[in-house]
Amino acid sequence: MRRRLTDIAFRTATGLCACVACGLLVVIVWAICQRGWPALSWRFFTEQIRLVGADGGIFYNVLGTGILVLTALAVSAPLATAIALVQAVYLRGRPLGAMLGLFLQVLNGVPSLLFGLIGMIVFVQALGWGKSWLIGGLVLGFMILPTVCVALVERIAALPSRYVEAAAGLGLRRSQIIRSVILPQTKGGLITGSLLGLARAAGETAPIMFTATVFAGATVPRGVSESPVLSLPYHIFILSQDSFDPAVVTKVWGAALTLLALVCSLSLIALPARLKNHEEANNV
Amino acid sequence: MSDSAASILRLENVSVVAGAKPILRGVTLDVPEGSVFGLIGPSGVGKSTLLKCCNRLTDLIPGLRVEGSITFRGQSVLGRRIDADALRAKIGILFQQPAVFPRSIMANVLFGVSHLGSVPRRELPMVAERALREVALWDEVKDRLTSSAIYLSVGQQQRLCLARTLATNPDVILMDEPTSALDPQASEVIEQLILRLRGPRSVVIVTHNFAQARRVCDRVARLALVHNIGTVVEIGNPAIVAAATREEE
Ligand SMILES: Nc1ncnc2c1ncn2[C@@H]1O[C@H](COP(=O)(O)OP(=O)(O)OP(=O)(O)O)[C@@H](O)[C@H]1O
Ligand SMILES: [Mg+2]
Repeated sequence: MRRRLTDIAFRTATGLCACVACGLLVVIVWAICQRGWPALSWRFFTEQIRLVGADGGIFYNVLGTGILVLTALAVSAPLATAIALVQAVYLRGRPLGAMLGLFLQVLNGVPSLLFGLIGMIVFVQALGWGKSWLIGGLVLGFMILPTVCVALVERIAALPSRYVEAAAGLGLRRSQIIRSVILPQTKGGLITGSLLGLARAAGETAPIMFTATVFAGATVPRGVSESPVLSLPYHIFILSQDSFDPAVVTKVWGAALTLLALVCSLSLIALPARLKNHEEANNV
Repeated sequence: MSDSAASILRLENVSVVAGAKPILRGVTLDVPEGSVFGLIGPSGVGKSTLLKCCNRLTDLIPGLRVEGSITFRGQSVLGRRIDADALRAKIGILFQQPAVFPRSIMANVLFGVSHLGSVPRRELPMVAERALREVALWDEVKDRLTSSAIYLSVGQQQRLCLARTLATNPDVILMDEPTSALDPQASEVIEQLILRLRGPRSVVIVTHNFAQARRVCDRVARLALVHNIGTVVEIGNPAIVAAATREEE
């Protein structure tokens, strides 16, 4: 009887916690949808901002955030793959590998604002690039490096050793084992990690406000130096600070809803790949 | 098999240490070319470890040190300057649990040989068919070569793994309890295959099963723990070694 009661209490407690978490998400999504929905229209997505956010749309903000996120992906995916392979394959079981893991944890603890400041000091000022989408992408890419790396390292460590042993036993070189066994069977980790990282990168303001983004006046970047972009988070950040104009407020909620949808669609894009990976993992 | 036959694998005074813990000590044995050589002994005595020493798969285990001398066709196996990958292409291995890759049956059979680059690309389908016929799997899978290998039965998967090894044309095949995950019928098929491999290839097989050792092995080495470290205590005819072990127990 006692065991049964403990079981029921435990199940209730865990269920409640899960409900709180889901409820929080539902409330946030609901609040944003309710306030932002009236702003959405064809023009909202296809025009540029006018009248300091009171009129027009957020086309170049969406484009700018897209450029930043894609650049961050292009920076972080290859770097994270390389670091994860060094840590989990080449340095497996060695103290240096553990140190590399520790280094990534420390990097993960660095506040995003500091990433922005370092990016500004190094690229904007010392190298004299001015504000640029490329700096923003680099800074965001480095910022999410630990997230992507850790997800991939965990997948590689969880790969049953018999696959690597079987491939090695056939005489494959280590580089061939990495290409044909380790990477194909752990790409789910890269996808999951990249998504977690990019979803965070898409919404960050601090790393890009000094390095890559402006509030108005930028369109499609034509070069690297002195070519900032507009972005959704910075747009929301600036307008929500000092705007009492109801027209602007609705548009800000519309931008917030767009950002939310963008982040959610990032997860949806990779869902088929993740499901496939899951299925294979359960069948092997 | 006469004792004067040339040996293809020779282990002399081989010891293995994991960190500070000795696992094997003073193992000396000869595998005559073309024979089936059995390794028997209780669980945890170091049979799998000894098998992995022969093709340097022990390199993959961090902290494992192998000492002594191992030669394959008179050439040293241990030592930093030896190309362990090339060696493993000549000394294949089959595990207790079949490790098929989540790819098609065809891609699995050709997994090793296509990476080695030893066979021209257009001859690969022929190599695959020959290997699958050799393990008696061709008729069962010839209509679904492009479908995923992970849906085969465990016995079929084990034969697929053997075909994958045979496709690389090794001289020696190491087998670590290849039938202990299989039902009696599938085991019987694998045993028949081992008997057919004998001659052109040499086999070193770990088995728990004395009856199996008697059926397939030409010679067996019995390992036992001495002062908690594994070593070879007896080498000889399988029937005699098995009988001696029974008496001891
Ligand atoms: N990497 C390692 N580090 C430390 N000890 C190890 C390592 N690998 C194996 N051992 C130890 O070495 C001993 C031999 O292991 P091994 O797997 O070779 O035994 P086995 O004879 O194949 O056993 P079984 O019949 O159960 O397969 C065991 O005591 C095991 O705990
Ligand atoms: Mg074993």
